[in-house]
Amino acid sequence: MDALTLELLNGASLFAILAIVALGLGIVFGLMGVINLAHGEFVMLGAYVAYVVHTVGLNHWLSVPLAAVVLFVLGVVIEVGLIRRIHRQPELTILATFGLSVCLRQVAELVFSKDFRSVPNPVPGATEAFGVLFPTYRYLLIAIAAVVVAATLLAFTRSRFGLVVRAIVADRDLAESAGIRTGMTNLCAFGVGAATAGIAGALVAPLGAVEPQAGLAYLPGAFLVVIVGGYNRLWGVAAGALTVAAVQTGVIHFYDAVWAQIASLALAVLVLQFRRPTPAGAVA
Amino acid sequence: MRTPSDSRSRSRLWFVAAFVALLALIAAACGDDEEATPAAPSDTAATDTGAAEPSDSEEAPEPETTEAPDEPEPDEPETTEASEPETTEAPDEPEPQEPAEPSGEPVRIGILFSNSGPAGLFGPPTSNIAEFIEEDINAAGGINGRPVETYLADDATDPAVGRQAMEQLIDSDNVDVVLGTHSSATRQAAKPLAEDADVLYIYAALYEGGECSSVMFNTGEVPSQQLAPVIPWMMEQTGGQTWFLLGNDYVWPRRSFELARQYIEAAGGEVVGEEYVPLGTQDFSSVAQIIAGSGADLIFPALVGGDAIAFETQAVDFGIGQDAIPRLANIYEENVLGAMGPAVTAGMRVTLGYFKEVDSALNNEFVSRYFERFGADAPPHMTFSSHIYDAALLYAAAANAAGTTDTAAVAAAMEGLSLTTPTGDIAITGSRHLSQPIYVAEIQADGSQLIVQSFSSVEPDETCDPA
Repeated sequence: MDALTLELLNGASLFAILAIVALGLGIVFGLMGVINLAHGEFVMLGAYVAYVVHTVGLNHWLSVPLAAVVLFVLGVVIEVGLIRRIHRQPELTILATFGLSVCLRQVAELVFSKDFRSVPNPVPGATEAFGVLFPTYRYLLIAIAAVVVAATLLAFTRSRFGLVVRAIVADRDLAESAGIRTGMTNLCAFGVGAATAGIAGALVAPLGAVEPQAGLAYLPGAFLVVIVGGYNRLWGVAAGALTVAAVQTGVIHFYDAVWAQIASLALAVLVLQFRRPTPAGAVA
Repeated sequence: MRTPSDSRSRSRLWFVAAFVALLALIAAACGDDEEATPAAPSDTAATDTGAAEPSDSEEAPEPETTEAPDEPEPDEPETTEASEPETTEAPDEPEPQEPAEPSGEPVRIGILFSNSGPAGLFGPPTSNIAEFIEEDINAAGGINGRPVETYLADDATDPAVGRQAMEQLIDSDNVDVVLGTHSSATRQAAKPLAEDADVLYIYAALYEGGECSSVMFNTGEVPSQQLAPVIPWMMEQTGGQTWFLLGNDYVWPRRSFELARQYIEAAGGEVVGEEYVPLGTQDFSSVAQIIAGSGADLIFPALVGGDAIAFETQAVDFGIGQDAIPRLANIYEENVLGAMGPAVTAGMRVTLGYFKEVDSALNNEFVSRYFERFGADAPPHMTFSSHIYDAALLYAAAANAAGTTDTAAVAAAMEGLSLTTPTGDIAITGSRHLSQPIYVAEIQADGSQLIVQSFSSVEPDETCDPA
């Protein structure tokens, strides 16, 4: 019973991490049709924001909103300087964001060096609940990630902004003719996508290494979630994260971590086999 | 935005290309500035692995420069050696009579190393040590009276790039020998080129063992050396009997664990769990639960880089930190330990062939010279850079003994060769590996490494007969 509770909590924390990391990728891909290979680097930069906040002696939790602001600004700059000019050509966005990811890694290396950095856990230790001890930080991580993911998804689906977004996704030219400023919406979508990646980076920073290459490890997981969940519905990010987390945790529990990775990749292949093909950017 | 016309989309393409190129240029320019500060300007042909690079911006700022040995160091005004480095800087040649200054066509020493990508972290100490290799071998009279020059090539932690870098060293730089510190995957990709060109290739990184080739020597630690003496010692020290083996899923951890199992069982212990995680694993919550449930007394983690940091920082909160279950690690080095922080690492034991804390007159002098030259916060000299330095000295000694740089003659002179270096007493074995000291360091409360045990002249359990 205790073992099951622990695995459920492990699964929940993995779900939270996957969902918050994949959220921005899902937004940018789903709404703009842009395949952002620099998404992992946005997460990495968010982690460096947490590292800087730690080195100047401020509270770790401050880094969460700060990373969101810093990455939002960076996202806006990149959208205006790069993405805006090419977002209708997916193959160009792949090349451009790949180049961007290399540049961002290199800049991080020049500013912070190649050394591994770390951010200490602001709430070390474990909390006893449901009859088991589970790390306190992970409870908070689950809560914050859930709030951020839910708020973002609600904003994109239930608000007036969400209505505009869906209009653009349904037919960009028609939306433009109807007077909707699609450029501004793209700007917001890319900025918000980057901001959520920044939040993800700040949240995962105390759980591992902060280094220029850190983003590379997050990108495949984020893509897996988007593929499994489907990019034609934003809620798919949550569904995808839940499925991948369940498969990962279950397979590690019964077999091992190597098979868990194989199982998640196989899951993506299976999902793609049985999904009706929809063009990128076709959000319902 | 309207439907893009042909010309507009072309102009956008150009804009993107220009934007990326600009960013790359900025990165490269910054990199040059930064790398130029500690090192004197290069005056020999640098190994410009332009063709070998996956992307120009990543490689551009690499310090692939080699330096003349008599270059004064403008950054170090207080060192007395600065004015006449070539006469006073050889730590193992303290006698006053000066060897004849080397002259003639230089002997070219190629160094294939990882200076970018995941293992790029280990690059800077190696490129620093390349300066000492030139200085020290030249100060001792060079090789057969000829000066040595070093040529660095980066494999970007990628076997395909490593193969191209090896090609560059052999075909363009015409090196006489290649010293390597990089992954086994790069070694496998680059070895055939050295064999075809009949260039001596000394692989100096710690690795899983089993390499055997007529042009190769392998001077890094192999698992039998790191583990055979240390596992029984660890069990005696801690009283622990049961072990959990946790490694990344590739050949080196698997081979290490295969041997560890034998040594543990021979010492009367038991392996109660063996788990592998993919490289790049970020979340260890489920693995932590498996370890907690195993009842192990000791953990042997063979995890690399960020995976090690993620596991150890998360393990503390799951109640399986070093305090609860002591660690014996075989790769945790200073960068990784530093990032974990002393609160996590204090008490861990690490088994390696070199730590900068090795207490010998030769090593103390070498390490203080290193930090004087490259700054107190320089990337620390460690087992990889130390083994590259030793490999260069072994090559120089063998080539001097052979009186030539001919590969077969030097290889013959290598066998049985023994030296005393900052690492300790080392000797090439009949299996073309290295008999070397093994040290166990215990991490202190302030994060420093204290050598608590050393084993001298540990023989590798390897066989090799390339003929």
